[in-house]
Amino acid sequence: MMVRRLGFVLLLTAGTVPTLAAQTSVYGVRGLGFPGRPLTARTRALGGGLGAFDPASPINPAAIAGVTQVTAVAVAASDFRGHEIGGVAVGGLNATRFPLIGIAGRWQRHRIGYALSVAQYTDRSFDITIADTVSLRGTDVAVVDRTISAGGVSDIRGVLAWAPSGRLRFGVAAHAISGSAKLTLSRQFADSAYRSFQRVNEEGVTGLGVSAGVVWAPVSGFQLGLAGRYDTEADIVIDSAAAGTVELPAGVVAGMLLAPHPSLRWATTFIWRSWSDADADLTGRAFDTWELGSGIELGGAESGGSRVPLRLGVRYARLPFAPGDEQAHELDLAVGTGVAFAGRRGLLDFALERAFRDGAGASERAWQVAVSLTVRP
Amino acid sequence: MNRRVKHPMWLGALAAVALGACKEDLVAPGEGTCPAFCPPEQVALVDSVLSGAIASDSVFDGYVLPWEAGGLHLLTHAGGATPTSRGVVKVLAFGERLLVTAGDTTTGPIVATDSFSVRATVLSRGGTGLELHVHRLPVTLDSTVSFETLDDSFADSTRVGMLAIPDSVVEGDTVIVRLDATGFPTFEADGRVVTLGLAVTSPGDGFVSLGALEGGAALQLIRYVQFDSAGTTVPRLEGRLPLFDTYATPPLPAPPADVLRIGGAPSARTLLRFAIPPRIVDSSRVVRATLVLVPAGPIQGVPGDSLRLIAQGLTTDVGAKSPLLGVHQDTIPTLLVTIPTGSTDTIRLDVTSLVLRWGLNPDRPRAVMVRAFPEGNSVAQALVGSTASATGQPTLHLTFVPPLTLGNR
Repeated sequence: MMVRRLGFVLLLTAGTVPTLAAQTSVYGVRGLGFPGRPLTARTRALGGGLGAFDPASPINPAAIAGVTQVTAVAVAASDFRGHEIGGVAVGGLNATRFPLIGIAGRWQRHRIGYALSVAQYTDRSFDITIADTVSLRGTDVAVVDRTISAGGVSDIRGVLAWAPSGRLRFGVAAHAISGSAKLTLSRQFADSAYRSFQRVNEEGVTGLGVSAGVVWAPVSGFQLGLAGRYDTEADIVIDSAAAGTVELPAGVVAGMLLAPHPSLRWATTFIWRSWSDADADLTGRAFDTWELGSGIELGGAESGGSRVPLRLGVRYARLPFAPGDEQAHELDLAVGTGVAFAGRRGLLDFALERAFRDGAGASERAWQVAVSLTVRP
Repeated sequence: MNRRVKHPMWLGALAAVALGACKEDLVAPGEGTCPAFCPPEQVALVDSVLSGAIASDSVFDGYVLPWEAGGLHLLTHAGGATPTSRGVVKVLAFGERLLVTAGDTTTGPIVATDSFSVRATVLSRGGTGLELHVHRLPVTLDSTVSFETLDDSFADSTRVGMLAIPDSVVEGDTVIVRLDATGFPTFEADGRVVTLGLAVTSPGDGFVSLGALEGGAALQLIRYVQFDSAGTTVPRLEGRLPLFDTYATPPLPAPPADVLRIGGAPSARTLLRFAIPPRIVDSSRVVRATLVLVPAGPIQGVPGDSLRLIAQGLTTDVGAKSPLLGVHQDTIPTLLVTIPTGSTDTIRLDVTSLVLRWGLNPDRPRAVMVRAFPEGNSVAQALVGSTASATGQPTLHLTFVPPLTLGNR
């Protein structure tokens, strides 16, 4: 029976895998792109604070041991952005992505959980148009340059997790990092005597990684989470030819979850990544990053109180890539809720975030909306 | 149990609809964004005049002979008594009888020839006060007739008609010259075959180009006759098209050794072979390529006339008989360069498409044939410096984007 359910859920999600990516940002043009946030809408509404404990968010493999039945999740996220650089403001940018799909289950007899997920690792999608005038053969010629990158890198994770007791969970995961992007650079001339120029390269990125984690509940209503991750260097291929490597970061995750009452949860997660390892491989700069997210959740289907929860969160993060020596940062304010239906076999969670990104000579503001669908067949 | 099955199915459908409704609009103007927040790669242009890009050159002539041309080019210089080109048109033989009615086989004899007229289409005209003179020529002339052999034939005594071409005549107009039948005393003896000589005079320099057989607008000779139609004499006319039409010009002096000839009649072509560095033609993206030719003197021809040149690629380089690459009709206007006679300006021909083809197909001959367009319709020709010229060598002006690989971060 379980195998039949598993097949059904895979069928539901199979068609969405190629579209996995994340909303981009002006801070994602350089480096490997904008780091992904492979979180469920519930965790995003809590500022990412639940990341170390959320089995549907691929942060801590030990959280998978908490899954009690086959569960599939898919997340859609849209952003509406504007930025200002050098006094020039640009608005009306938007994108819709699917940063996470995954499925998890548990072999009840052995208290072993398993999971497979495909999540955004980085996104490097942009489309920049520049109008200029160049002097050619003694005449000024108007030109329009366009730089396009369409693609990103995905993190494919397989997890095995074990819960030796109700208070302790362990998990290990293997990661395959894979992605591609179509890079296009073109120039159109206003003078038809000049032919347009277009260069298209197909870029591929591959790498591997491992992660491990633990979740410990020393007392009822209180959990601590800890995880570590190590990724190899990424091999870069341009049009099937090796084009170098980029060091991928190691990472540490630490979290705390406090639930003093069934209708109140407070979760905080801290994540550090050694993105500066890639600094020597890039033309721009790469910095180590850390982020701290925290949020509270009131109510919810399991609370015994309100069935519709209210979630509030805040997150601060340092961004990894910049054109110069100044590291940019981001502040997110989040709010969200969710609803259970079909006898709690389905969950729809929503998150609305306001992002403030500043530094490195730019500032960016974004409204971000995330919706996650969780199905327990 | 039934509920457990049904609900995931509609949830799945909901998920499919939601996930399929994505959209992406990431376009951002780059003003202010670059260079800091742009990828490191930018379009860099190199503009270079390659003086050594043309490895060798050759001139071949005789591609379109005057009797193969689409027009009869009649011109005169400075009102001289002797026209500097002469047209010769031999028309098909007229008959002795005519059909009484169309669709019937009954014929009647032609009783008398009253007159003739020449109807011709003007392809182009230059100068003012032009007069078109029509002469009666020996019917024994053929299409290879030379200018010198026509001296006696273009005497006043052979002139059978003249038309003052109004200055208002423009391209496409028809001119008609009336000819008296007495001008052709040997008409019957010649087997009712007529060979006409055409010449133009004017107070100054002038020319007129008339439609020819090969151009689809041939001159026509109309014969006006009295015809015995079943016992009744009635007027009738019949027309004849040329058996051949041609024009002859005095032989031109041979150009100097370091000069290339393009155009004229018989038409000449210049073949240029290129040696472009592989890093440009193979590895870079050429956005504009211009063949630069330096005239060794003014464009030759009648004032008011012009020469149109085009550079075409070769499918195979076998010298003079190299088949030319086809040119799409739509692109011809952009490839043609029109040069007025007398001009000494540098000639610039667009060869961008050809250079791009060379990069895509290394087996394609890296050579171009420069020719007049159309060929043979005009005596106008260009004399340009060759690779042996001390001062006026042909060059290739290239604007290109050097090799570039995206993916820098």
